Amino acid sequence: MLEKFTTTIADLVSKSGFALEYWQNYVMIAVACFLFYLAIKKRFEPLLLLPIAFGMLLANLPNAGIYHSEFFDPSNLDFWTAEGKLMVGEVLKHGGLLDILYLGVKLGIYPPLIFLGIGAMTDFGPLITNPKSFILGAAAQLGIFIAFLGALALGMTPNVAGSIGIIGGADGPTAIYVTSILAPEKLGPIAVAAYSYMALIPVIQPPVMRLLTTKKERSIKMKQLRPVTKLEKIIFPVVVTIVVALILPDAATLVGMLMLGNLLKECGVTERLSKTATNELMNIVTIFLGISVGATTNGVTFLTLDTLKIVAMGLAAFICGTAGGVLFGKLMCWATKGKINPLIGAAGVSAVPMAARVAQAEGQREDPSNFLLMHAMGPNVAGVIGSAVAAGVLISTLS
Amino acid sequence: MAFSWPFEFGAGEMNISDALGVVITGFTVVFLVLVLLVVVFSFLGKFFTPAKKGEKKEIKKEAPVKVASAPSAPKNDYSLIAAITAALHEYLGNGNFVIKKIRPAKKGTKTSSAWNRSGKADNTRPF
Repeated sequence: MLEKFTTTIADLVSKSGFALEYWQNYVMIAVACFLFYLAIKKRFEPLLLLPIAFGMLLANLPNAGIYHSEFFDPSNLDFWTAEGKLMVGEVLKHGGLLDILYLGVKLGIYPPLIFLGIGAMTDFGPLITNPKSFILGAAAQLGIFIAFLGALALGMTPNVAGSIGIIGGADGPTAIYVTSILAPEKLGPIAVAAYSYMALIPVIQPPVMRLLTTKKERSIKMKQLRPVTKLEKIIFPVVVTIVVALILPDAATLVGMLMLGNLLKECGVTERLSKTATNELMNIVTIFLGISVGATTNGVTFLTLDTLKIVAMGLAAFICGTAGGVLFGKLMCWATKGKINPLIGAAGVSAVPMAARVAQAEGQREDPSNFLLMHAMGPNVAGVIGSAVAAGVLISTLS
Repeated sequence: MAFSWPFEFGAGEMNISDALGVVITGFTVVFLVLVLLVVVFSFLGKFFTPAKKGEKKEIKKEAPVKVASAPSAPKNDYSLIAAITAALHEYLGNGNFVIKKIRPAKKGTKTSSAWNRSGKADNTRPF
């Protein structure tokens, strides 16, 4: 009787969700709960961290059957052709909800749609009034290439190294887009590292900024920006799209969608579309992107030495990107005889508007009457374009 | 004992010179694209603000106008004290106050409007 009871209980436990096959799943559930804490209590990038954490939770709970990582393994010939193409129809036929949502990441649909929304929310006015800011946006991409070299030195393949490097662009959708093309198997750790570090920008950047600048440089007050005409704001997205797409077609998807969103906002005749891009579309895609990226973080594949390397190199990318922007800011400060505050260079790492607000806060630490925010917004939005261009370079070079 | 690096560079798929080639090419292309955009938008900026130089010249041509110096501390300006006292009395609705001192604002005191100050405070609030 007792033996039958214990056998039945053991059988029930083995069939229940408590019988996780791997200890890594328990660790990932704990990590998901920690991310909930960061997103809800600390408000670290909650719009993306919360869906990612929930996707992580679902992916590590057993028997849910809503995501199957094996469907997306190119060696699985039930779902992949011999030429290495995913059979989307098979995924739709056999997949769970998250498998189907993940197709949006795999096919590179969500990141450009997020860029559409970002474009519709961005004011490029500070960049138009001070075009030199573009150069600071380029200098801050240094972190991408330093991290690329670092990842190669740590034994990563070139494709994975390129995906790790792009974390330094401080642009989540760009990191996801590049990784989904170059190294889809590393999407989970790279996306989590990218968004975590973006949330930690106010912690990572200030020590680097203070280390590389003098008190005098941090106190520099910049000249007020001129007003921008509506026509300039309309011309801007069109010209940027033409220039970037002609020089670097691989960057056209991201930059093109960013600029389409901006044109919808600035032209003044597509208010409904602009509102949809910034609200409903952006929110829907954010949920889909977050939960499906989170679902790729299965403990068995996530908790590896490679993930530690990704976390370390991601941090190095952010630090080097910040340093690159500040050092170039110093160079511009010297060239303009003190007209440019080098702190605004740190905003070139994207992470809009967080990085610009860090530059503002650091400027005000030295002089409370110094308002750098609008000056820092120039390199900040230039950084978005710069990281998209860098992404195009890496895709065209490595894929 | 010699230290040996435990990882194979680029997992054996790329050597250092190729990697440096990617880095130099990549960084150069990023700079080139953005410098080209600087040139384009600097040109467009000049096109959209042609009147700026002319305005400056006009200002230079104008004869300097002598502006009366800022009012100094009106220690003995009893009419000003009377006017301020009357205004305060009107505003407060009683005469239960004493004006002890009237002095000009310190140099550098914020003179922007409340709307400007509110906007700045909103945009630059701490994290």
